[in-house]
Order: sequence, then structure tokens, then C-alpha cells
Amino acid sequence: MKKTTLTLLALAGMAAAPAMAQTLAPSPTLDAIKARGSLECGVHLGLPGFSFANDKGEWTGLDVDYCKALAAAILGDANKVKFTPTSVQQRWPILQSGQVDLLSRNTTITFSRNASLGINFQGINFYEGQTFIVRKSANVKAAKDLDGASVCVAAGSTEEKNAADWFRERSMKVTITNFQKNDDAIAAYDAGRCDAYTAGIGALAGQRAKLKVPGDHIILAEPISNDPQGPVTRYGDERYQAVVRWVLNGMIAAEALGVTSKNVDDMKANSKNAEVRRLLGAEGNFGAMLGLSNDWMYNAIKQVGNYAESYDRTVGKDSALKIERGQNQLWTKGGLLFTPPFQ
Amino acid sequence: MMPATPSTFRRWQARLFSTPLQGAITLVILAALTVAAVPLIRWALINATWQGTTRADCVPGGACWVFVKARFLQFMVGFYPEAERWRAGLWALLAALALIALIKAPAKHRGSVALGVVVLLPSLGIWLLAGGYGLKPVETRDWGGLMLTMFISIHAAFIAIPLGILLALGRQSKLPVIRLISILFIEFWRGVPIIAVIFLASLLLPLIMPSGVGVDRLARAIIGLGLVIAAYMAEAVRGGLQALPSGQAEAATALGLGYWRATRLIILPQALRISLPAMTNEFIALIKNTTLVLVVSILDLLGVAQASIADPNWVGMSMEAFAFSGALYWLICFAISRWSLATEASLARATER
Amino acid sequence: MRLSALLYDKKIRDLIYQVAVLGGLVATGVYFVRNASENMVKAGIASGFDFLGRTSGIDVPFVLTNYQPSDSILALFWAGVANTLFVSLIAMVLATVLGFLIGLARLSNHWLLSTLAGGYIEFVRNIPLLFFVLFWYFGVIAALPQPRESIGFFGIAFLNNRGLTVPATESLSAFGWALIAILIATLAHWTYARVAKARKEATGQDAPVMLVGLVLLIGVPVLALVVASIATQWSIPALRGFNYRGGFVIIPEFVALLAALVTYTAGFIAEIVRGGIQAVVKGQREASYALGLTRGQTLRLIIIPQAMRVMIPPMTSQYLNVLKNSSFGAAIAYPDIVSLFMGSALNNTGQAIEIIAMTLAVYLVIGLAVSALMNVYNENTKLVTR
Repeated sequence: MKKTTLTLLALAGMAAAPAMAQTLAPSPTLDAIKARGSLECGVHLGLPGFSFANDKGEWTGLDVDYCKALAAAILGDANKVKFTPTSVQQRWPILQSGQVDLLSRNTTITFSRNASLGINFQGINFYEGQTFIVRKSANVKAAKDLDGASVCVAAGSTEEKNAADWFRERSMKVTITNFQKNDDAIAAYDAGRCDAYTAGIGALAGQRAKLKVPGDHIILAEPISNDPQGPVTRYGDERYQAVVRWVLNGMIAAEALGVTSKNVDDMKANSKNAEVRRLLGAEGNFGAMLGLSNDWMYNAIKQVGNYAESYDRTVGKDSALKIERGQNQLWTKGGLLFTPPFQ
Repeated sequence: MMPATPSTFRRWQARLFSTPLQGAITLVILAALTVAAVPLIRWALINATWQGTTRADCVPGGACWVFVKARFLQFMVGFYPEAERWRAGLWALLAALALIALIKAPAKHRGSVALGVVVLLPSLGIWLLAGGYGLKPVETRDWGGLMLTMFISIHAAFIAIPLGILLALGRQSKLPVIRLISILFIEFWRGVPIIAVIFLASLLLPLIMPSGVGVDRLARAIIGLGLVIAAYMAEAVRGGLQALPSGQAEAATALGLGYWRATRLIILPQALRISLPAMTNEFIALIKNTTLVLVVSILDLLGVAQASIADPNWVGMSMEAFAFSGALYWLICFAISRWSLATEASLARATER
Repeated sequence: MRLSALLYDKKIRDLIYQVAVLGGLVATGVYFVRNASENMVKAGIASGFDFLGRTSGIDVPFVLTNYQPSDSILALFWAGVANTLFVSLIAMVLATVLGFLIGLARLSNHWLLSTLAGGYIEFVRNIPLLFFVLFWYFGVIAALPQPRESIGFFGIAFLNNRGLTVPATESLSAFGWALIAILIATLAHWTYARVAKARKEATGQDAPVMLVGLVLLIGVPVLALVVASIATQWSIPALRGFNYRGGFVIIPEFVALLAALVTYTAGFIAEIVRGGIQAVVKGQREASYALGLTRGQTLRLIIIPQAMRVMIPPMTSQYLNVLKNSSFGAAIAYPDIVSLFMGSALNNTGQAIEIIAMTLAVYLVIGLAVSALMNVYNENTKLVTR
């Protein structure tokens, strides 16, 4: 019965959003966000380039941008998002207990987290590779030269286990000192407690700025692991999870399709590309199918930008970090970023 | 001038060099003090930078107080929105007035004044800081700095003191079940580290509430701290209860007063007076322990200090940030302990008469 | 009529009160537990203690047990417990010594010494412990040299900002024997002191308890340890690459946490000592002088034994504070139970409730043990009133 109604409505081609909404799966999270009027986003305590609050409490960064885009898609306004800084230890309980709607905080996707923490990873917004920052004076060229060194790391991070595994495999004797926060670990490294500090390349680029004399340190180019990172949600509420997933896909797709915050109005009105038209809500009912307004991605791109714009502004060529696109380039240009089609 | 000199000189001589051994001790201490204090004074005062606005103005070799000046308001109120900061100031004034009212109130009315403060300060204060009802709402995540330290301390104390008094009475109760529950509660919270309790509260409270009922994360930290300090307060009050001669309770019963009336009119006023110094110590401990809310990413005074160090525009300012915030903690706690000593002395005088 | 009489019966009323309170508590508890289990099922969070058997994979820089990263999370738990106990016990002893010294200095009739001690106490008591921990940590690291400029001690121990590297050994059997010898000597001394005391009470004859004590409690242990260390194979640290290899490393985090706990707690113990000594009535001191005892003897034989009685309850709570405050080590990466278990393990397994419950249980059990020990001591020193 329902199915026929749906078919009829679709055939009519005039399916108004409210009528569609009745057939949508219930989404308590989306309802709560709309009722609240704001998105609750859990971010890193302070990682320049990814999520960092200036002295006025304004957040910027790649992970922050994603949350803004999600807020724009759901609520129509990129500013209707509230950021909760979370430490490495707190992030899971805060997400599990529903204090935030999602985590967008430089968190590595792993099997055991997905399987046992009651959380789902919704895609990849940054391919991180773990490496080390060392003093230039130490004469270290690659991670294999670190035999006998002591390494500072944040406790409970994937880097903590990665580094232990990597050195153990190679029978290297390395002392790993685990701090409760990244900031504590890097401060201890700066004070000379450790020979190296380990984190992802992107994170290191941001954290180098916190060292007393950033020029005295180098980041080893060769990564010891691949740590894909992206937004994280709780189990349950499939429709909300789909929204989280497809807003990220949408930002990447926009880059691939050449849609930017500058040309989005023009593209929406004049583009002949069907996928662009579907993405921006000029054709089809993609927003409404998820229970959003049809200009969901239009709002996100207009107010935040596509993936490339966000990347360049926060960690890429227009930022202080100047991280190459590398693996975080589109698949068409030799990178790993890929998005399923908007069909 | 001349006549005063010899006697002053004598006095100091008697203090410092009365015997050769004493003289030697004095010299050793003075030498040690010089070694320790001179570099400190040089760093903090002589070579310090006071004028300027950015890190470039800092002169190496000394403290850069410019940093503290630039971040001063953040140390006070955290990320509280600039346009609304007057509310934080007003709240501080309100809290100070409440404190003065408590201290200056005549003994006869102190009970009702305390009740008024306990009811009015949290309700007015939360409205003022959090907003709503005509004021622009400010979320607790934007609160911070000294304001937050004091807010947490005061409200945790509002939970801890009444609960602590009840627990202390429960522990002295003749009813076995009540006594056992009180003892278990007190010993449990006294036996575990506060850092774990704050973590526990921030984690467990949302879990044990029916789904959909949220508890603000600041409220969670305050509840956690309040429960622990209640156990310590209970022990402080117990000291006062035990110090009271049992004749007091017996006399009250002989006069026909029931348990609650005897407790309220006879026992508690005397017991609380005796345990006031111990309770003040617990309050000081509470202020110091608020630093631990850092583990749940709430930025109190120390948290703001740590966050400000991470600012890439102000690299290498950790000593300044810690020295300044540490001095603030010290001043507050020292002032309270001095006040407690003074009250203790005046109460002792009053009872001696 | 009969019902109201029942209500006014004190026994019945008390019973009703108690049942009501108990019932209320149980109901609240059940309500919370039900909410929690519902919420957990809904959130899909794993529960139970199976995670303890999983491989931990976490490298710990300071281990007293045989823990290896390939061991289970349960082994990690015990490594954390051992580290917590280790730093707490040493801090308790050192804080007592320093606290006594400062407390006595506070009571000294030397003006400058007494003022300085007073200043120290006021300073320490009014600053959060976290400041001490951070101050000592960054102070200690900053003051120590880089590995290549290590301070050597007779070529076998080396001090640098990675810690103090001391010779270590794989087999501890010789030290096991030494420990037994020390225990026997202690027991012998205790028995001897008892006998001597009984004889003194009966005959008034003094026995050289101090001298025998010196031999049995210091001479024998030193001899036993020296023999044991000669009999053991040692691995001597040597500089290779980044740092010294071999030996056992006492990490700076340990030193900093210990220093912070000792300097902080000493301020509180000093006040307890001062209060305890001042509580001994002045007449005791005067009588002691009148009997011809020297100042040192008076302090040792008359004042401190009596002051101890007043001091034991507050000292117990200070010792418990040291235990609980050792959790501040988490702020500077000292691998205690909070840092290892509530930090690393919690993050890898996400089983917050189980892990927090186990951590709290550790503190409660150790705390109860310390309280019990102190109670035994208290019973032994209590004033016997007839």
C-alpha cells in the first residue's frame, strides 16, 4: 500500500517534501537537531588546521568545516553548530551517551572501534599517515633510525599502539611515554623529555607551530602507518547516518564536479550536468529523500565550500600548515578521495 | 631615628644571632634564600616585560607579563562572549555581597541569611550567567577562567554542606540502617580519587538518566565534586558533633524536644561552630580540586592557562601562565584560611566569656 | 486509635523511617541501573569483563611487574596497580620525614627557621597539587642534562632527562635471601626490645636497645644487600645511540610525581606534627627537664610518643590522600592505574563502567588496608586509661 503511494507520488513528479516525510524512516537525531536548532559537534581540544579555537572562542579547521557544512545541510545555516572540545579519552563516552551528534576530530577508523564501541565511521575526510617529529640535531632520516630513542605520544591514541607494534616488529628498543593529551606530549617533547613525538603528518604540521623554535625540528616524510580519518556517529538512526555520510560525499563530489562556493548559484541555475543539478537540488528530490530541504548541499557548498576550498583554507596551500594534497587529492588526480555517484 | 636603632638592632640580633649555633643556622638559611630567590626576582620583576601588546614586545631573559595582560579577561571569564561580560562581573559582585552578608550577619539571623543565600545565589547566579528570561543565553561551554572556578566551588559547596551535615547526623544516628548507609556513603567517596570521580560523573550521569534527559556537563562535574566533598564535610561536622558533651543532647531531650528540634536548635549550632575551621579547610580543598575538571575539558582557571599556552601566537609563555594562575589560587585560598583563623579566634573569645 | 498508638511508638516509628530510607535508596538504585542497561543496549556498547583477556599492545615505560605489551589487559591493570602502590608508599615515607622536619622547624625557637617553615606551610597548603606536579615535572626535565651529557655515578648509574639509569639484574633470588635476612633481623630486634622493656620494668636495668637496634636494623640489612649484590649478575647501562641501554630506568615522571607528592603532603604533615606536639601539655616538658633529660631526649622520649597519639588519625588521612593524589601522575604520563587503565585501556576497549569500577575498587581496597594498619598502630599507642 505504502509502496504504491510512493510510486504514485514519484510518478506525479510533484512529490512535496511533507508528503515524502511520512514514508521516511524515523530519525530521532535529526529531529533533535532540528528541535534544538543547532548541531552538536565533538572536536579535538585544539589542533591547528583541524580544529582550533582562537582567543575569542571561534573555531576553525578542516574537521570544523565539515561540521559547519553538515549544519548548513540540516539546518540551512553553517553557524548553527556548537563545538564540544573532547580529549582523547572522553571522545567515545561523549559520543555514546548522546552528548554530541557526531565526532569530527581527527579520529582514526579501526575495526575494533567500529565493532566494540557502538560507533560507525561515515567516510574519510583526511588520509593521515603517522610519522615522527625529531630535532634536526638528532640526525634522524627515517623512523628506522630511532632505535633506542624515547618517543612521546598521547595515551589511547591509535598512534600509541601503532608505534609500539611497528617498533616491536622490527625488534627496536624504543621507550614510549604516554601522555593524557596531545598538548602534554608535545610540551614534554619540546622540553627534551623525548627524542621524538609521534602523530599523523597533518597533526604534526599543526603542532609544530606550538614548539618554542619550530625551525629546529623536522617531520620525517615516510609514514609508518595509514590512518584514514573521518566523521563518527553512534550505532542506530540509519537516516541520520546517511545524512552524515552524504554531506561528506557531497563536498568531495562538488570538488570533482567543479562546484565551488563562488559559482554555486550559477551552476544551480545553468549547469547542464545532471549530477550537479541533483547535488544542488535543481533536479530530483535528493534532500527530501533524506528528510532535508532540497537545497541541503547548495547551502553547505555556498556557506562552507567544497572539499578543496575547505582543505586549502585550513591545512593546504592557503593555510599556515601548507600540507600537500597527496593522498587527499581526488582519485582522478592521483589521490585516494573518492565519492559514489549522486544518482 | 637614633634612639630606635639600637633596640631594633638588638631585637634582630636576639632573633638571629643569639648563640653561635643560631648565627650559623641564620647564615646558612640566608645563603640558601639568596641562591633561590635572586634568579626568581630577576625573572619575575627586574628583567620582566610589562609594556606592549604582542609576543614581539617580550624581552628574553625575563617574564613577559604582556601575555597575562593580553589574556587577562580570558583568565577571568574564559570564552564568555565579550558583549555579555558585564554579567560575569555582576555575578562576582553578587557572590561577594552574599559572602559579606553571611560573615557580617548577626549570629541571631545567620541561619536565615544562610538559607537566603543558598536559595537566591544559585538561582539568580545561574540566570545571570546562563541567560534566558530576557537575557541572551550563554552556554556553559563558553564559561571559563576564575569565574568558573568560583562558580564550581560555590555550587559544589551548596551540595556538599547540607548533604555533609545530614550524613554526619546519620553517622551518629541510633538507627542502624541509617548509620550504615551514612558510613558506606562517606567511606566510599572518601576512599576514591577525585580525578576518577569527576570522570565517573561525566560518564555515568548521562548513562543512568532515562534517554532524552540530558545533564549539562558543568552540572555533572559540580555534582561529582559535591558528592565527594560532602563526605569530607560530613567528617568535619562529625568532629564538631563528637566534641559536644553528651549532656547537651540529653538536656534537650529532657526539655521535651524531639530529635529534629533538638538537633536544629541545640546540637547543630554548637557543633557547626566547633567544626567551622575544619569545614573551611574542606572548602579550600574544594577550590584546589576544581583544577581537576580539566580532565573533562572544562576550562577553569588552570584550564584556561593551559589552553592559552597552546596558542601559536604566544609560544613559550607557560611559566607566566602558571605563575599568574598559581598566584591567584594562592591569594584566594590564603584569604579564606586567614578569615577562618580570625573567626576561630573571635568565636573562642566569645565562648570564653 | 490503635494505629496512631503504633505510630507514636518510638520503635515502630524508627523502623518505618529506616525501611522508608532503605526502600527509597534501593528504588533509586534499581531505576538508575535499569536506565543504564537500557541505554547501553540501545547504544550497542559491549559490556562484561571479557576485555581483560585481550592483548593490550600498550608499551609502558616504567614496569615493576613482568608486563610486556603482548600481555593481556589484566596484566596491564596489575602493572598500573604496582606503579600506584610504589610511588604512594615511597611518597608516604619521605613526606613523613620531611613533614616532621618542617613541623619541628616551625616550633624551633630560631626565629628565621620558624618563620621560613611557617611560610613554606602557608605556601604549600594554598596551592592546588596540580601546580606542584607540573612545576616539578617541567622543572626536573629542564634541570637535567641531555643523554649525551649525562651525569655518571661511578660509571654504573647515569642521570639525564630520560631518567636515572641504574644497573639491573634478571635474577632477584639473592635479594630474596637478603630480604629474608632483613625480616629475621627485624623480628629479632622486636623480640629483644620486648624482653629488654620487660626487664626494665621489672628490675629497672637499662639494656643497650639503641646499639643492638643499630646493628640489627641497619648493619644486617646493609650487609645482606651488599652480599646479595655481589652474588648477582648485573647489566650495566652503556651509552648507545640515543640513550643508555641496559639497566633499569627510573623515569623523570616518577621523580617529579614523587617530589610533588612529598613537598605538598609535607606541608600538611608539618601542621599535624606542630599541632600534635603543642597538644602535649607544657608540664610534661618541664617535668622532663627537671628529671635531667636533655632537649633531644625530651623530644624523643617524652614529647613525640605522646604527640603521636594525637597525630595518628590525621596522619592516616594524609596517607590516604597521598594514595589518592598519586592519580595526579596521569597529568604527566606517570603510568599509574588511572593513566594506564582509565586512560589507555579505556580508550582501546571503550568499556568505561567496568574499567572505572575496577579502578575505584583498587583505591578502596588499598585505602582500607592502610586504614586498618594505622588502626592497629593506633591501638598499640593509645593512652591506657585505668
